[in-house]
Amino acid sequence: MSDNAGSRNALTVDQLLREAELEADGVLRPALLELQALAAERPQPSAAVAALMVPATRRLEAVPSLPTAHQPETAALPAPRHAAPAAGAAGDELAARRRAKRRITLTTLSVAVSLAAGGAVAVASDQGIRDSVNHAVTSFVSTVGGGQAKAPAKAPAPVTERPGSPSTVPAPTAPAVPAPAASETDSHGTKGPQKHPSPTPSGGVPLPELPVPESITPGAPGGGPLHGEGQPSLPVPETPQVPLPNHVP
Amino acid sequence: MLDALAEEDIEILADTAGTDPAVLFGAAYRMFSGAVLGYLRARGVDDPEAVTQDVFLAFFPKVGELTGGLQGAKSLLFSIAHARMVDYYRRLERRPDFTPYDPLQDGRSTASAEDHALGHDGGAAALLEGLADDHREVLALRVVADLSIDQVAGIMGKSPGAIKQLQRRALQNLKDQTLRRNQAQT
Repeated sequence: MSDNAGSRNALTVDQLLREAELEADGVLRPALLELQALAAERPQPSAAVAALMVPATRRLEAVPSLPTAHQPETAALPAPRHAAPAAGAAGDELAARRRAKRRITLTTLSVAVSLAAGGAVAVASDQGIRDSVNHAVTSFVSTVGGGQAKAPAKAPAPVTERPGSPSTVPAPTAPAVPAPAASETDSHGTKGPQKHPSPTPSGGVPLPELPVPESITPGAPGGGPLHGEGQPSLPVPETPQVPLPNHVP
Repeated sequence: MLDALAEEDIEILADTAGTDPAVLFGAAYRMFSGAVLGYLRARGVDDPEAVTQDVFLAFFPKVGELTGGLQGAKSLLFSIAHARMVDYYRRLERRPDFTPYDPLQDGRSTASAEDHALGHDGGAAALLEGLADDHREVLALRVVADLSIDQVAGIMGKSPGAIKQLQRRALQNLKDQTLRRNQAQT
């Protein structure tokens, strides 16, 4: 410590004694000067502290450059986007960290997509879900396209009364297009019947009308004519009456 | 030559804006490392050199936000040193003493002739040993660290008036203790 520093320290001690109103004290002053001498020794900086004291420009100069023999190879390689040419090792490390971070993101994304695809396949393989999806798609398409999708499939189709035919048996399971619906569509001018074709030819070719037997019942094997309006029904052989024994052993 | 370097360091620390943090850090180390080491030694911290390095390592990340020039750097450094000292004593209170006997660590042993010659006999630090903790702290910060009353008040979390009172009592106790010691030696 130089004389100037020593005199500065003495001034500090004197000021301290003056603040405490002990400036005339001859005992405290040497003790305080001795105490102040503890700050005279400057410790050697450790390696970590010494590294932090090196200015940034000198640190960059200390980074060894690549040998000239390797320069064409490095020039041929595509330069990484984040690496600045003067950044040195710190820039390379930063770019490597960013690449690693990007890689983690891509890996996470690909795993998530794979899991979603697997789940979709598992859902598609289930028959019940597939049927419900098909039904939903069909109803949606028919709702958007035709607007009359549910009527022919679910509504019971009453058989129209024809003049000259006494039978008025309803056919609940008949897939034929009901006549009122057809007339309604005709009145509205829509093309509903064309989108839901019935098994019977409509309009154009007249079919021969056959007599319907009076003893016909719904659900009987002879109810063929009810399924197809105006179609010929096959003759059903009559079942012979078999005599049953009175006493069964 | 030393004064020229010190003046240069003072100029560096006076205007911190736009200065390389490493340059600021180097100037702060040259200016205050001795005072930090002396403060830690006066407070009786074990291995004060290593704690001094820790203080400066903790100081470096805050160099960029440094305000107040030379005095700001000084306040920040001794705030860190004070916190390290408090940590040291808290750790010491919690830790049971399991270390075996080491003659080098025995405070009852007499200092060697080399230590006497270099002034490393702990005599200066021993001046504060009989004082209360607050008195030791205020004298170490005022005398060794060369901080103002306001700075000491900020570090110790007291008002400047309280620091003045504390300082007066500490000096009076130190005087009494020095007189007793001198009488015992004679």
